[in-house]
Amino acid sequence: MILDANQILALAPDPASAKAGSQLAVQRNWSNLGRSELALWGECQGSGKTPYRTQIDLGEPAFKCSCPSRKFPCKHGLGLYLLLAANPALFNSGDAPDWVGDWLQSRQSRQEKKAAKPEPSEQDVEAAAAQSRKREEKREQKVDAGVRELQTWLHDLAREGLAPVRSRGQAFWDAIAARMVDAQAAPLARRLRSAGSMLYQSGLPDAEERVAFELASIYLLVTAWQGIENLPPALQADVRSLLGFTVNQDEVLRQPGVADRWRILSQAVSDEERLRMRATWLRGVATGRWALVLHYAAGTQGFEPMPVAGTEFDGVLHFYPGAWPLRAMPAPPAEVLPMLHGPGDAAGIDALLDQYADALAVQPFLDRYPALLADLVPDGAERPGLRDPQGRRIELHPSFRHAFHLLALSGGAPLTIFGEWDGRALLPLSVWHEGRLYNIDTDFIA
Amino acid sequence: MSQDARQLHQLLRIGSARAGNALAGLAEPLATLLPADSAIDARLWQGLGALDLWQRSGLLLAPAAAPMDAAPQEHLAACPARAEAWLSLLLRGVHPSNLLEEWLLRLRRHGACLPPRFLPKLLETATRQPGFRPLVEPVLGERGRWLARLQPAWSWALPQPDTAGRTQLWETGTPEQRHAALQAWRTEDPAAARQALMDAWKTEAPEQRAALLAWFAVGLGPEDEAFLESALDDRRKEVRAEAQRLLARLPGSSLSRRMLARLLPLLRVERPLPGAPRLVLDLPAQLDKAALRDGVGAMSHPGLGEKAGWVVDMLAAVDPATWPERFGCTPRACLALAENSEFAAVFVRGWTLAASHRAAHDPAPGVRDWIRDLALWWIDAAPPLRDTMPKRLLGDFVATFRDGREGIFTALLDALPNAWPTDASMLGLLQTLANHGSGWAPGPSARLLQRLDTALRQFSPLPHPWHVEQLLPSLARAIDPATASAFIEHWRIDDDSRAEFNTFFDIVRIRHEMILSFQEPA
Repeated sequence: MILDANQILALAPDPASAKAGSQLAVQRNWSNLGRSELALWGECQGSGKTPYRTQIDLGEPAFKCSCPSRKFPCKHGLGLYLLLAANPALFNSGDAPDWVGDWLQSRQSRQEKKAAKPEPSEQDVEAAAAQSRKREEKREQKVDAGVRELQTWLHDLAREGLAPVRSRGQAFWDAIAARMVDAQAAPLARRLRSAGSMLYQSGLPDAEERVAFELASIYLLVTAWQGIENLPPALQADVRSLLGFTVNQDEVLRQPGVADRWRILSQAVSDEERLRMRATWLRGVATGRWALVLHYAAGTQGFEPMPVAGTEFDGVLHFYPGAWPLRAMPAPPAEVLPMLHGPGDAAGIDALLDQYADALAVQPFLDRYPALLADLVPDGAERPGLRDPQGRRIELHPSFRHAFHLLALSGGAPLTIFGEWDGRALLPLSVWHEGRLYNIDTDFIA
Repeated sequence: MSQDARQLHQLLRIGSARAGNALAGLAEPLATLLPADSAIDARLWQGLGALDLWQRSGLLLAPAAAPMDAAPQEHLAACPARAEAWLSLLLRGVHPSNLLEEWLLRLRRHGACLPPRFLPKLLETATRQPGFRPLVEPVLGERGRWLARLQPAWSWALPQPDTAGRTQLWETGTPEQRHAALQAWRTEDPAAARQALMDAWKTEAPEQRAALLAWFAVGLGPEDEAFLESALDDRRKEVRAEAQRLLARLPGSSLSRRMLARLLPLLRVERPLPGAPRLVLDLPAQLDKAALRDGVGAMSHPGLGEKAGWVVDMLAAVDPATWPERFGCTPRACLALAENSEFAAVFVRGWTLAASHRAAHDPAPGVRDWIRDLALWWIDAAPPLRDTMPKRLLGDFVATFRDGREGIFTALLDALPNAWPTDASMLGLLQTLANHGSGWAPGPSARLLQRLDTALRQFSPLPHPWHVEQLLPSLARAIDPATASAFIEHWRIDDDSRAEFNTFFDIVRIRHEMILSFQEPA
């Protein structure tokens, strides 16, 4: 599948690369342009004597360029792809030159080699496992200590009261968050910091209640950790991951895969401290299963390739272990198709509430839950919300910034909205309207 | 249990140390759920956690507000898909040059409206930068106007209120709304608008009076004269100045006639033999009260003496078409008469101001002639005289002929001396021409490219490359991209000037592609 300009720009590692890439997407900069079923290539005159050889494997897509840039994909790759999207007639179909053929072949053989990688010997496995167990244990001890400290902190907070604590400012919250970083429980640190900023910066009338519930939820998590051996194994995995223990990718791949045609319903990039996180929600056509794929990137590094919202592909997903598995890891898809037939069956809010209650019953620490809801009409601007066909009000998440975009798209007519449900409010992530998927993070410009 | 929720939140707020053991009376099932042996602080958190889960797993939805009316059916065409993709790129600042204005103009010309998903962004942009409003407003479509109702800051995009609504806005609105109402009123019915302002005149705040009076520039006509004359006696200086300005540009106003009457005794054409004919000016000795009332001496004219400045003010208030008639020659010949005069700067400046006052709305043919001749004269004039004509005015002039109806762009380009790339003033003129909007007609665009081509052959490398570097992108944004694209296909440029021209080519190509994006592929 050939991506359109927006989707191509979404591959850029940063806005500067997107800009530079689109400036290169003019014919004048290129020579020896060509394409085949699988690949795209061209030579770009840079500042040096010899032009850069840029090539793209259209499948993933994957990029290679002879330029020295450390950004990935580089501006030449983006420019070449954008040029194809703007003016496909410039590219002669034909056999790839050697430098393209060699690369494609080496990619192919690398993939085969990877697939045929010999199983490590039993001894190696045991040694490695022993080492990682040792590391785990050390970390568990640290988390233990941190969690005890946090519990004491919460008890003190309950004794003193939230109102008197308010005057101490963000520093009070940052201090305990820093302790959690030391204890290697980074997710707790993040939640405590944002609880503080919710109190001081959100301006929400019910900020105190929200903070109270958030802290209570942290308290329950902390309690769960202290009695983790009494929990079912799947829920143990959830508690561990919520405290920042990562799961080895090989372990994820050992979980049984779920084969399906996966539709990509939304994709959004957010900043998480020094990292950027890209969250992609997928839904299986046959199984109806939901999956969340998370990718992380640091600095100028680009994200791992992933098809964009509004497309679908056949593939196998491996889910991370958990009581209500949502997070998954995809294998690189062979072929990506446009999502022509919409996002699939949308539920009503009642069905969603039932599902959510079921999910909470097995995984009470669940925060975001995927929701595809049909026939929602955005409400007027004073208190943005959504109205369901029975005339009931669905609140929008306070962090949602695009209420006017929803109104503009709907014009008072019902929309099919996909988003994350937290039990109280919906955070819309994409809209299916008039045969087109609008991915809010990339298609709504604020 | 909602009472429990309140109780627990309240307890957390004030702290258990102050509240004592107030957790006793929790209702079922919370009471049995919480381990009875744990301390109150632990029970508080556990209780809140349980309540949170309980609320989230069984949310009761409140009834929604009454539904709004849906947006009416759209009358404008939909935006072509490729053009929509362009807009998305423009709004993200992906392209080097700001081409949003041109995109909006093209959309309007295409008879289409903005894609709904971009409406909030463009309404917001035009709210913050009012210059965008005339571009955005015609492409909002029904959906855009429907949306604008929902955000008070976007009210500028709403359809003009009817007469009754306007009267109400005029009487009770905010200053900004009242200005908008008066402006709309002047456009539609200048007499009624005048009456409305006259009725309210006495009670208006003094600082408002001048600002409101300025709207008389819209639909200015002889019927306004009596009221404006009375405003010449206003106690506020700003009001008097506004009335003077308006009367000066009102054709055939008695203020204009009074100014002419003051000027005529001071002026005569002298035809010495031998020698070139020239204008002779006797400076006025002093100002009387009537002249002060008419605004003589109100403006400052740097570089000119006080009395010379008075004459400039008088000249500026007289229709410039008067002089060719009186002297029996073209404006260009009038300028030649002035050039030979001792007070050349006074005439040039006075006539320039007079022409520019009248240049705004569809100038009369006599004024058009002046503007063309002033611009052509400026190109040939000696540098010190050139400087008496403010650069800004040149731009105002040129903007009048943006559509190229008079062929003035081509005429100016033809008049450029061969050495224009070495002349900073000429580069400045081209910059002005370029800055005054995209949308050069194919004719002048081709002419410009020819002149650039010739200049490149003549000067290699170009002198003042930094000037050219600034100028070329502006020109690339202004000329007709189809003409330019065709032209540069065959253009050979040596590597020395490549860097400057790369940007030029890029912008021309980008514009060309952008414009083509409005034509759906067959």
